[in-house]
Amino acid sequence: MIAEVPTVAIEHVYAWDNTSVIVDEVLAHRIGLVPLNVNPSLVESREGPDAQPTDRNTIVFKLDVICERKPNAPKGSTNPDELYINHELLSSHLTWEPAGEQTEVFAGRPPGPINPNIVLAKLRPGQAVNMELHAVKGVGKDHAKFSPVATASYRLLPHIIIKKPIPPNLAENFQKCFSPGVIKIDPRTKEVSVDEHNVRKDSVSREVLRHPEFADSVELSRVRDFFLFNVESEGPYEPERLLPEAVKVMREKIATIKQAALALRGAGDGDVSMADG
Amino acid sequence: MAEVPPKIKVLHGASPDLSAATYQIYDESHTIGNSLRWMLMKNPKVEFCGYSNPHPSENVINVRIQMYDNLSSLDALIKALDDLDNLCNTVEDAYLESLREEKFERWDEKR
Repeated sequence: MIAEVPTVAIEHVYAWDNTSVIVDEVLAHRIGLVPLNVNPSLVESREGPDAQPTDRNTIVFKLDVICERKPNAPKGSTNPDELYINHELLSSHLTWEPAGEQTEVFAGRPPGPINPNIVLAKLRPGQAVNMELHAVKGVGKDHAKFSPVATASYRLLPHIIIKKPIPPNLAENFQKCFSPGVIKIDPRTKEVSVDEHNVRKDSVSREVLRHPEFADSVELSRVRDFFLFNVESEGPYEPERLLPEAVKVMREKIATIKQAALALRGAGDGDVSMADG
Repeated sequence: MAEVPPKIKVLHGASPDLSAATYQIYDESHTIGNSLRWMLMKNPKVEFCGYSNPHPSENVINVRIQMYDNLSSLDALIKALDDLDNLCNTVEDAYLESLREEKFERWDEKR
């Protein structure tokens, strides 16, 4: 998910004018990192460095901002909001330039930044930025800006085994050793048990092992084949679509390897001439 | 641009009947390497299987497979790839199924 599920991000920046205090390459890098709301399945990837940009594989944005003084600014004010027009270059200043069939393809959701309030540069009167930006499809292993997720991690399901009954007077102390909801206490008999549905909430702090009174009564482990994934989308994909997309990438990889392996079996046929060299 | 290397090649040191061979898979990493090794080890006919990424800046993995009874390791590799594909399919179907049945918790980010 982090490295191989594709998304669309700004890759080429053509600077016609940049008199801001941020130099071209740094500003270009900042612009590249802006997450875009483009559905990656609507865009083809541009193969190779020599491929021509077309309306199928490139989305063009323009950035044209000039900072000026406000005519009736209150005297003595130090607030840039009151003094200047466009004193910040924001991600909302990116304007999409539809080309070819893009007007129809992206009719539902016009391409633009997911968050309109990202400050890309600060400007002062007389400074201007005029750029053309080309967004293409790429994968996270090429550059982190193409990664569709903010975080994607997995852990194993915690497994708590109570080996000896916990004395009723210590039940609440025992419960406090785990995350809230993990340990149930029977209100009548004060009997302690693990809430099977909420075990996943446990932070695995292993706090219980610090208490000598519980030393032999509990065993902490993990379920080896139960994975809990935590995925946070950057925006281009709905979070629930990320896992199917990752599976799709995986299956494509398997298909290419299998094809190559079958070709190898067809070509080799008994002798291993491939092993020369 | 340089010529694209073949996706899979048999490295030397392979036995003539391919019952033991090292395959070099181009443009793959631990993602495929580890899951393929795991799937190959599930096959009771596989005597040994291991993989490595010889150097992090080399975009290849080496998968070593040794078989019992002089069986072909290439067949085992293809079988493992099929099984892995089925596994992906099963996971995806189960996921989409529980998504359809709305078997999930909703959680809204606090603003």
